[in-house]
Amino acid sequence: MDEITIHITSDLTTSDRRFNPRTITVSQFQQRLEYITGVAPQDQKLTLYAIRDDVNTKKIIQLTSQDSNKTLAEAIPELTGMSRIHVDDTNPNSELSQAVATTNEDDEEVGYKLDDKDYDAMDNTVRKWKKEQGLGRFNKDYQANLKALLEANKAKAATFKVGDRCKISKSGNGPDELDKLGEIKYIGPIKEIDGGDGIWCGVLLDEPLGKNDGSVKGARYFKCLPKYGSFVKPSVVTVGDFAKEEIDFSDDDDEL
Amino acid sequence: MREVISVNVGQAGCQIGNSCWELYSKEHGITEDGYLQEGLTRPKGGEEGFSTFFSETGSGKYVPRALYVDLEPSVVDQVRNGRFKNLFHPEQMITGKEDAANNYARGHYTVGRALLDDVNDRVRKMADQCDGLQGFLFTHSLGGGTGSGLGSLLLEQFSNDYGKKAKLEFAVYPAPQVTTSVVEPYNTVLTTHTTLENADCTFMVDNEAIYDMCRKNLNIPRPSFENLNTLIAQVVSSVTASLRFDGSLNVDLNEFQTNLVPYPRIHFPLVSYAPVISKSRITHEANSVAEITAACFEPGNQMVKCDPRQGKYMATCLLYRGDVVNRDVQNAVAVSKSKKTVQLVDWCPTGFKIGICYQKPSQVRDSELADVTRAVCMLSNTTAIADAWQKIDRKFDLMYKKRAFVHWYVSEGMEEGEFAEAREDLAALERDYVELGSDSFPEEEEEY
Repeated sequence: MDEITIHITSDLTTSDRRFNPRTITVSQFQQRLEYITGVAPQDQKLTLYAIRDDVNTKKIIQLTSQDSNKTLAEAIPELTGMSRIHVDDTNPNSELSQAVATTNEDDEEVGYKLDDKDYDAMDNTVRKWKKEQGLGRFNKDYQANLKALLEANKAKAATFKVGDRCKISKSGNGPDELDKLGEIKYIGPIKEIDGGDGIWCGVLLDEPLGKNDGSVKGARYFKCLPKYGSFVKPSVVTVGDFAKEEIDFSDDDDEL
Repeated sequence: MREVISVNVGQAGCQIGNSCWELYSKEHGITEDGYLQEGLTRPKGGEEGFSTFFSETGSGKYVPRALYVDLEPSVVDQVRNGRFKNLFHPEQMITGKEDAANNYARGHYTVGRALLDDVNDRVRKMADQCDGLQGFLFTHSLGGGTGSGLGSLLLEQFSNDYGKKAKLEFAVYPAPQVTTSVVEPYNTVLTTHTTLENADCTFMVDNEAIYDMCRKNLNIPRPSFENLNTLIAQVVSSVTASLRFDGSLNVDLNEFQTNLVPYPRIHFPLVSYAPVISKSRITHEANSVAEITAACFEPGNQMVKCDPRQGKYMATCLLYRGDVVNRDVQNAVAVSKSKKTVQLVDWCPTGFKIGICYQKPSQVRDSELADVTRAVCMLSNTTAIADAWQKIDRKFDLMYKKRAFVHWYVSEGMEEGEFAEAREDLAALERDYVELGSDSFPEEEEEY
């Protein structure tokens, strides 16, 4: 076997390819390179690295039209199974350059858009399956359950008022699920979270265990220091006479 | 008997196939030339499991139920002349003379189609030798011309010829660091469209994820394709272990689909594997069942770069191998399930299924991977994998806007309309995942 593996690279690609340098001609080789790298033969600038990762073995390959019918071994005698060939594109207006130029544009309009109504009309989609099987929002009980949950949260929130002391309790026992004390600062919808469907409590926490400063995605509901603000569903909130745990920051400690 | 025929297509498919068969042989006690290792009276792993992947000739030689197909001979020639040349039957290797030039259209329509009769004949012969063929296991890349074009052509063909037989794929998804050709996004979108209806379950392997694993976990500064493919093979072997050894879960190909696929189009489970650890580091790690299970939920152990913490799970299978006790597994799984980051699609049946195979994993010769006493492979159908489609679709769009290189495909007789049709199908697939992720009941304990 006289085939060798040559590592082919370009700015966008990297691959191992097997060739027989004694049978493939330079023009055939350059054709192969085009399909790999997207650089047309007449625009290719080839650099040989006799040893794959060693820049000291770098050498520009000068090919002329007389070389095109030579074999690769004749045209590039230094080529071995250790080598790498890097392909550069010398044409700023090439097909590749243009395709790459688009890549750099931060252009949202490039993307294919599938309209919701077109998706809705398609057969063999998950939405169609959900409709047919009555799953998710297509389940007859789904809307009713959703409504019941919202009503329960609204009813509970109606017993709260801004300024109430409160406790947030969750079911798990991870670090994020420990009970937290604070004061209710906001009761109502937050469209930045769920489009305004649900009802939420904004809580000013006693300690910096929250997620924000009283604002959600730029919309301010109350004002506090960063990490002291939290927005939760009424279902995890209990109001009551929860005393603030005073943390003593007096200077006395420092002197000890 | 429930035989499975492996079909390795294209350069990446054949190279992964090589590493896989090296592992399979080692795990079942078969030598490089197909005979039992000294001291064995029968292959390891039980008759039923073993015969799923190997057939026995009259002379006591064992032959993989595998087919190698490539449009040009050089990669398969390495098998023909390599260490395992006597393991395979020469007719199991089918090659043409002219390569696909990284072009789906050449693999699917022109050059690839010319090879179709040969492949069909050979597969028919192999299928006839089976008592109860379960189906086919494909390995191919999505980005290369042969892997994408001929791979999808064969999947279509087998759908016609073998009807309901299961067809599973391991598909190498292109990655920016290891882009093998400029037109990979086109090939990927085109082949995904063609196979969406024909494959029952596709395990994607993202070269970028594998590349990072080789660098970070195995300390290989510049991973070669061989390094990548060896690691991929380790994962393939882990997924197929349940078919090859006596076990309880996913013992036949259809079970993968039953356990993981809620709706036929949504058949791309995310594969995670642990431990991926180098020989030099192994002595510092305990690799308890709890640790390797938790590791499967870490993005660094996933075969596709995406963030399951932002998605929802539809189904999960955990396949353990080696020295594993059921109670440890139950505990480890309970811990993982209780994590806030593991969110389920609550309107469709979601299960955690567990399989244990007592055979520990092997390594190929010269592998950087440490020899471990236990490992786990997690297959989870999560909506997060839609990230992969989004990424490749965007790359497709950027090139397609300028119609860059489309003429390469048209000149092979492909109609330009196929690009638009394929792209629309993938847009619908992205939308399908959005549909799956929505409508879960509002999370009451969410905090903002």
